[in-house]
Amino acid sequence: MKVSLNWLKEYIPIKGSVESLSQLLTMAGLNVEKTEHSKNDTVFEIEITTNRPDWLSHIGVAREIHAVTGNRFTVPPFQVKAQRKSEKSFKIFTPDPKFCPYYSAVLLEDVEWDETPEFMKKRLEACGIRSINLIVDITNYVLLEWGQPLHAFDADRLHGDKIFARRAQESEKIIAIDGINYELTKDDIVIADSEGPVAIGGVMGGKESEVSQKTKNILLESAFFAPPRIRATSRRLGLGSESSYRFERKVDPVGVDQARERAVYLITKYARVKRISPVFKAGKSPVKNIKISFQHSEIKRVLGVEISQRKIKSYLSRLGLRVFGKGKAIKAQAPSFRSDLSRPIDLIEEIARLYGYNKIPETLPVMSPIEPHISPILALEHQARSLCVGFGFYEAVSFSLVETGPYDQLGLYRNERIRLANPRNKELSLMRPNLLSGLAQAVRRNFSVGETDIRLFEVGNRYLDAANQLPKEERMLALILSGEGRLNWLEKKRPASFYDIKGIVEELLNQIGIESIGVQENADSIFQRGEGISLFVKDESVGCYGNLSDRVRKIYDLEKPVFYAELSLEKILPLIKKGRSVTEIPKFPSSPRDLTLILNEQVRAETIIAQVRQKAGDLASKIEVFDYFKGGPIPKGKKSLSFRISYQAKDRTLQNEEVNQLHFSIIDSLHKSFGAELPKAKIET
Amino acid sequence: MTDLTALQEEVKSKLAEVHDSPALEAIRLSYLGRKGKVANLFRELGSVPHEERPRFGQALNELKEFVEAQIRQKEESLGTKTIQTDSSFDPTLPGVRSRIGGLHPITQTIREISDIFVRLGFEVVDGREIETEFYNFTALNIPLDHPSRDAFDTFYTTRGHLLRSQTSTVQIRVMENRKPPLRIIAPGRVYRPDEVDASHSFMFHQIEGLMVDDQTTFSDLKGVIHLFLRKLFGKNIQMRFKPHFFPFTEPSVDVDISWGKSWLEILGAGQVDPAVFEAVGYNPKKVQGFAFGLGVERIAMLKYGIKDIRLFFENDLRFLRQF
Repeated sequence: MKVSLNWLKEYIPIKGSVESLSQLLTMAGLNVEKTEHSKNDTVFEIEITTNRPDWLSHIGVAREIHAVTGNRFTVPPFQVKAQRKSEKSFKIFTPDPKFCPYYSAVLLEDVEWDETPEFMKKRLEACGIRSINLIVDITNYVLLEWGQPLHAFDADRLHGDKIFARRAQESEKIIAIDGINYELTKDDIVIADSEGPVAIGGVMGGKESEVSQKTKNILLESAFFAPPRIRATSRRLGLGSESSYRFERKVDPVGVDQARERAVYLITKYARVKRISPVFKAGKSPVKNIKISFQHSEIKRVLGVEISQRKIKSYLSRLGLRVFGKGKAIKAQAPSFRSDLSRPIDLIEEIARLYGYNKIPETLPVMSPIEPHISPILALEHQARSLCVGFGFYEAVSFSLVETGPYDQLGLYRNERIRLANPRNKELSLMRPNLLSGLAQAVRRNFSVGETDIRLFEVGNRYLDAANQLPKEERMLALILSGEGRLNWLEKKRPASFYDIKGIVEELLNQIGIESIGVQENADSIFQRGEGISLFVKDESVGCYGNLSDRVRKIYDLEKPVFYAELSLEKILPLIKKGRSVTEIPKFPSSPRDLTLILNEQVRAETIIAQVRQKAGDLASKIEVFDYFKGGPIPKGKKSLSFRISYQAKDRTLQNEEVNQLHFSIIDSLHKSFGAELPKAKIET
Repeated sequence: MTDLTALQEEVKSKLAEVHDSPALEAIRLSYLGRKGKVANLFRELGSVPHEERPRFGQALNELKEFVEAQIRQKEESLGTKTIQTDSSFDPTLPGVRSRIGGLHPITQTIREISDIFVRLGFEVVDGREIETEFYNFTALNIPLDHPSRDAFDTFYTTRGHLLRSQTSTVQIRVMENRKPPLRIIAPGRVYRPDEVDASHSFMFHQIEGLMVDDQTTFSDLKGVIHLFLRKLFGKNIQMRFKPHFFPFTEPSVDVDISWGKSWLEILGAGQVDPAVFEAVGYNPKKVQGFAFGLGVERIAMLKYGIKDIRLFFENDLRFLRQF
């Protein structure tokens, strides 16, 4: 809200600099966001919290300055001395007190006016309101002065002599002052004459009955509308006004009459009015007189500081409360404009505020002991992040909201999606069902800016529908890698491969302490056929990794092969082996033997290893692949695989003969089972 | 049997005449080499009578150590002259750095903040992101039709749930399940349908803090927050508490820190509103405490001098490598 310094000075003397006033307001809770200086005035842009509608006026701000400084505060005159009678009279009806509990109006007859006085125009302009004509300007002026919105009708354009402040009928229509035809519902309030709506109650007047230069007779409205109703209407219609802003925050129920009379006072002062009617009204303004009481000791208990009863009473009186109470109790009644004060804590806050938040000492609390908890999932997340960084991956953070398109095209998670009802951006309307989108897009972005070697990971939730319950939020870890291995002058570059992502996943699981995890080929349609692996426990998939399919790469516009892994941290959490026990370091030496085999292409390393393990039993302590080769001297359809087998016994040093015998029997069995051949001498060199 | 002491003297006197490393090397070979004098003596060990063997063996070892020490000493006194250098070796070629990645600045900031509070005895907890209106609004004393909800504009799912607009939801979840005393912080993602620009994003991160027992006061809140800000931004940081309004705390504050010549809003806080305690079944006459909430991106932007919030979510390696 904009507040003019000159205007404020009409109600309260202000000493000191603009800066000190600005500081004073801010520290009272009226946060000054901007200060604009013009030739003769200073305008403060103040952020007003929703609990303080009483600050939405110059009187309200002046009253607060009074509360803080104790400077004398004067209310402008609003008593109209003229006799109250008119030729015409109106009868008011408020049939829906839950919507409009109180409605009042005054008829001003044979009104003639000239230009709006200069000071008023300037003040309105300073506060961002354009001058229209004297009558409208006065209603706006009083709105900014008292915080009570008023409305002036051209009385000759109203039909009949009845005014209804009622619920609208379903589909009732009205053209408002902004020229737009609004369709209303029965949750809105309308002001209607005997023919139909003439204003959207509390939000905007009707075009038809608008006051113009030609208007002679004016019906001036001042009312109290139920805040939630105004808010609902204003939001539904997307129509906010200075009026609705104040009504939805709640106006001072006592101010309704005062502001109306103030406007009449100003109109009679600056225009020529023949007759002023008595007040036509219906209903009752909801003034509540709540008494709040609490023990003085509460102040110390909540705030941690002792404040004397004398000071407390003085703060509360300056805030406009009536203070009673004797002894150790503090009892007070809030003024009508402070509907936010109803509980002891509300007053304690006021006392703290006037005492000065900055004067309250800083102490450190007594920390009573609490049983330590370490969230297992957060601990796992922490470990996973550290490992990924160790693997050379940078952490990404991408939006939980993703485009639906790619998932439609891939046909993924069709029945488990969580969609937004009100996305800000139509594209981003799906809660991510996996972490692929964000990371794939990050890879593309990085390639497009010239990166050649990309390793990214992310830890975060995916979201899946869980029928009628709150959706499933599953903590995931995803890794993505693409491009060419980092170049340095000692090592050759090579493109990223399936075996990179495989090794990373294996090492990750190993480090985390997961031993028993099942592995199954393919699974997810995001991978190239035969180059995707799913990880599972019992029958449940806990993750996957592999080479992203051409289709996925096309959707995300990725040229180079991209390798991706995604693991459910939540699902692997219970699989972590708790407490590792150490195995003894072997006492007897191992005898390594290298074995190069020429095999049919289709024979898999894993089957060879399994057979070696089975044949060697306990004696093969380690079986590693150290070379793989195709083409060149190797015949077509064949491949060369080299293993290093370490033979070792727990209870003795193995003798050469025993090792050789075992080794050759293994070679024999591999030959029988798989047709494995030893390379010819030539090849070996 | 040879006189070992004489041999020691011999080594000493020979070394005294050595002035370069080839000469030193020759002496080393003549005593310690495979066919050197010391080795020969060891070979003689077999011919020494059985009962004298241990004593002689020990003496030989001492001699060997003596000669080695003497030679080492000489070597050091000859200095670098003795080290053979390969003049073609180029130590200025770049080192082959181990491949290592990095944590996102948001994670780093969350960890930094969490570490401070963990040392104050707070526990880090996790919370849901998709919530019901009860946890995001009602239990936090935000009435359904109240303008205070405007500050927490919200995304809804087609099933009628919502994406939490602040991490305060975690307060409610934790208090429902535990009894005081409580000290928790809850970092996480929050969502608001804001227009995206350099300082707004529809998704960002917050850290919620909550301390509840039977005696924690507003002045304790001031003390804890100031301590935290000093740890995070340095011990000279100035702080001010401005009255503010949050539905779930009373008294409520906006905390500013001095930044250059001006004040910057850094977090919101307050004493937990009795209505919130009532919503979770605590007796507000018996328990009290404070809550605070801060924006992680905002703090990271200040700490690292980041000008545009969108950088956090673009995952550009040129950005990520800087942390």
